[in-house]
Amino acid sequence: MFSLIVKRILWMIPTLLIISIISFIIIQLPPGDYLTAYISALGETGETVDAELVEALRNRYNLDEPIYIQYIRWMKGLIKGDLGMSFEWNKPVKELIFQRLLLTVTISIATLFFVYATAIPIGIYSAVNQYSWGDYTFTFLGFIGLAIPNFLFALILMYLADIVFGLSVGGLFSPSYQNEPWSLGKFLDLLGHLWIPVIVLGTAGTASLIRVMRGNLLDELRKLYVIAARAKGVPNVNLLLKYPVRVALNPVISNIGWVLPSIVSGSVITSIVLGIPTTGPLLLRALMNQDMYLAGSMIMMLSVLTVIGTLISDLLLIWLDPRIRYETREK
Amino acid sequence: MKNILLSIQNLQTHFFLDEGVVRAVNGVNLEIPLGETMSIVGESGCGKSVTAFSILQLIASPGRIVSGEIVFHRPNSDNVVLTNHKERDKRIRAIRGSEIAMIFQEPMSSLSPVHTVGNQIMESLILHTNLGKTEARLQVIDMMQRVGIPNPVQRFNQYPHQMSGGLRQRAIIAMALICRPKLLIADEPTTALDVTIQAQILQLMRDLQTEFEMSILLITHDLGVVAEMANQVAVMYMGKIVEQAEINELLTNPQHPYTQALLESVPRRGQQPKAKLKVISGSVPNPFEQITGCPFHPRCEEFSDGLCNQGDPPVPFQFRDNQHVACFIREKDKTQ
Repeated sequence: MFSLIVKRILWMIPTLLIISIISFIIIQLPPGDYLTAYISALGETGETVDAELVEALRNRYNLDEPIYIQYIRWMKGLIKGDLGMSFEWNKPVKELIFQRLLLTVTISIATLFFVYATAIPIGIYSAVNQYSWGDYTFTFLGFIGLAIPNFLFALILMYLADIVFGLSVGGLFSPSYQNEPWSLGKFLDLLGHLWIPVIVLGTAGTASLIRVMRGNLLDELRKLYVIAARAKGVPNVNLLLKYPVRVALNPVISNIGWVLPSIVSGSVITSIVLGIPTTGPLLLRALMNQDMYLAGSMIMMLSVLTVIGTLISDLLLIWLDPRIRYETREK
Repeated sequence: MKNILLSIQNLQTHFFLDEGVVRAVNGVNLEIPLGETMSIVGESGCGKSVTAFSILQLIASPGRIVSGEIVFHRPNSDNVVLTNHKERDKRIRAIRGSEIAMIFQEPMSSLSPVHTVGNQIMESLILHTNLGKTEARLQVIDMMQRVGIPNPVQRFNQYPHQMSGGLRQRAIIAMALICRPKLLIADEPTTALDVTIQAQILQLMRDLQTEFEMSILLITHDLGVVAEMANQVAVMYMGKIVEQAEINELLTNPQHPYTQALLESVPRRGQQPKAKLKVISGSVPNPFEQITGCPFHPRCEEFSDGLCNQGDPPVPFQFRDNQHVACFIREKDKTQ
């Protein structure tokens, strides 16, 4: 078991290395570099740029070097924990993204909990009461949740929260707490704001997980071992939770691997609409301006999150399903 | 008069589907004697499994027991009318697994893949007795030993996928017998096993039957298994019992044309090597169909127009001491 976990963690290294190469290449793919983007942006406003200054900047950031040298330079920094400088903000990348990364992780984890806490019970209910009114209602709501684009849903929720409940919406903190240090009040204020992005980001995932859970459980409920357990006289609720639900959870758990990255990447537009300082809006800007160290570092951080999410789901599966446990052991 | 453990009277279990009503069990009368083996044989879809499931009230929607009465005559205790209790009743749950237990056809799928075998065998014991975990575990290991599972202490913590089909079926038998039921319902217990394992499992069931003094209701389509196990045989066709007799009577002197055809479709020792087996002409009718007269008449070789296809289906009559047949022709011959 322990060696398995170590092996899985070691496997993360080549995975991340490949991700870093691919993302670095993609960031470099558009013609030109940060300075050409910078010059054209200035040109649009009518200013001209001193050619010598451009040349000096280009030398300073080593933008003339071949791509693989730039990559190696970047990787060397990464290993030492130096994420490089952001051209646009003229600040170290670490400083820029740390707060945002923390918020992204908070929102993602909260959303993940929301998704599982609602999808699993509803999925169980829908399967056990297949074709009942409740099942139809949840199916209907689920399809609406899947079909509404997140930004629209965000706008609707903000409108409702503001007009109907009179809550301060947008951002993650009320104006009074915005620049305060952390305190219980600030934390509660965060919770008060967190629910909108969590619901917006979680609805689509919840809807699809309800379908997965319902479908799996329906399959399991018809299996002979469920009837066999009933023939032993096991009370209904115990039976449901002990046998079919546990087996049906398996694919739901393995979904963590892809639910997590989809929440992280899906949060870009939502964050812009809701004005939440997560990594999403910053990443979008960095990509548009070819701010390569900023963009690269953020993509790396998000990849690490995704790979960790997959690891967690794998470990949960091993814990949940003995068949996987023994298969991995035999290998 | 023998002691009766379970009696089924006029059982009708129907399934209400969008396409129509399937009368899976359509008026079955059956008595299971104490300590003996009663076997129900018939083709797939004749209603034999549904009869078994009806006894434990395990019929799920869209199926329903429409009418009839199933009475469990408990030795040294009061009778229970099983049909008076709903599927989720506490009373019926207390009987399931403790006094009436069931084993199923497929040893692979009737065990949960994510729980240890020991845990699953122990479950009934914990549910139906006041035993503590350690005591229950010892009893389970003892039972596993008795059903012929080698190294029961190690096997206790194994999962079903780590066992062979034969071992799994032994575990299922242990699971059914752990509370020493009075009646064991075995729904095709050996169908999924290969022949050598089949013989071992049947031997085991016979041994445990004598040891525990229990009755067995054996559901099968395999006449070889019936010949080896049963004291009494009921032949089912389209939700009805068409012939019921003592085993030797049925094998040597079958009366109903369907029973005769069934027996002739089985290869026998001493038969010509290339001789063709008999085939019952036609196929099992559409389950939604209701046939007037005898349900077997469209496929019957002795079909007589005006007699077999008229009015209500035939009712079993006593042909011999220990043999009842539901056939218009036999009845006519007998009365003449």
